[in-house]
Amino acid sequence: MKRSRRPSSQTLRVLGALMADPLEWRYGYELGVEVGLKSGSLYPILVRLADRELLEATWETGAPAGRPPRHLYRLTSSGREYASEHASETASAPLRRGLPQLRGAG
Amino acid sequence: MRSAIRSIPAEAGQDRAARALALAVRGLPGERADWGAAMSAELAGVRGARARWSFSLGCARTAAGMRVRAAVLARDRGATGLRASVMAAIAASVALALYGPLRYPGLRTGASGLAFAAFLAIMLAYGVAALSLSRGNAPAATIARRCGVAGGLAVGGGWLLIFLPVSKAFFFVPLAVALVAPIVAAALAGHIGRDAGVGRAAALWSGLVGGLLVFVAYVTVTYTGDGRPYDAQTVRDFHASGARDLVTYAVSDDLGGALTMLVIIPVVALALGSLTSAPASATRHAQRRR
Repeated sequence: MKRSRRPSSQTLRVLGALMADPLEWRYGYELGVEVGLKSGSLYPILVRLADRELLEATWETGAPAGRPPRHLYRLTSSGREYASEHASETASAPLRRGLPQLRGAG
Repeated sequence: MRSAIRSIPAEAGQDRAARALALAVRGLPGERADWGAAMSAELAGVRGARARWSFSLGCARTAAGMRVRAAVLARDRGATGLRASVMAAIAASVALALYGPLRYPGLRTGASGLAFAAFLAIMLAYGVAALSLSRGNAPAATIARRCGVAGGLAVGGGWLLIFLPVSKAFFFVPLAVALVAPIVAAALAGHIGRDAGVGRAAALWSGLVGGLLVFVAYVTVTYTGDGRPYDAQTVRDFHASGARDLVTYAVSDDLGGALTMLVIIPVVALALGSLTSAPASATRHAQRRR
């Protein structure tokens, strides 16, 4: 049985960003920039969400030559339910935006 | 660290941030390997040296966390007796470190708090390393443990003969034993296991066992003799230090030495063992091909 504990404010920010367009696949770095989390905070959150089957990941297809295919993430149906349960907290979680420095995110 | 990063084979267009991340995610546990590849691939889309380093180091921290978690939570463990012995030695080391300030109140200073925090961090690293190395019951893991423990006993014995107040007539013999033992352990394990990784694991086991053996024995002897013998140099250093009393000074000095050895012994063992495990493994491969 999975424990249902209150997610951290950082997790809430990630959930909120993923719920903005729940069916869209997102890149990790892009997501981190959007919610203002560095990779050292973002990836442990993504790993935990994936371990709890709240997040699904897939490899990008058709990556341009010279660049390795990247991981894409989006919430599973359980993840969307979970995010909805915490929607009010998600809305109040502080959001920091970083400076986007992406290349070839398409 | 710089040399380690430089030593990673550079793929076309790879900068040092990418190399550092490749080093950090190399050999992640099977169930986490995809995450390592995902973080490396994501770095390819990050622009700007500063942003790339920030991303790379954050991912390296995440990878380190994954390793620690995998080591602590792993279920496929062998070497129950060895693991229990190492954990008991860690517990004994912590108990000895806590006992010092109780027996010698002069040790309770601001600096001792920092030293104790550093000591706890080192003990944590020992515990995680022992848990990580005790994963698996495959023959390779068993070879690494056996060679490593034998090497560790020799390493610890050698360093103890150097440090303890016994005859220094044959100083170079125990020093040679302490330095050569991890090399032999790693080379032997690498040769038998036909894998440089087995040799490195044996070298690290040597360092862990040797480090704990030296710390527990040396600190016990220090407490038993109140830091004796007080030679002329110790007395001169005591007068220059402004410490409260000679006993506290001598014990504090010995504890500092023991703490330093807890770091030096495994680092030296791993470094020396790594140098020899790869050639030994390669030799075995070559012999098998003939």
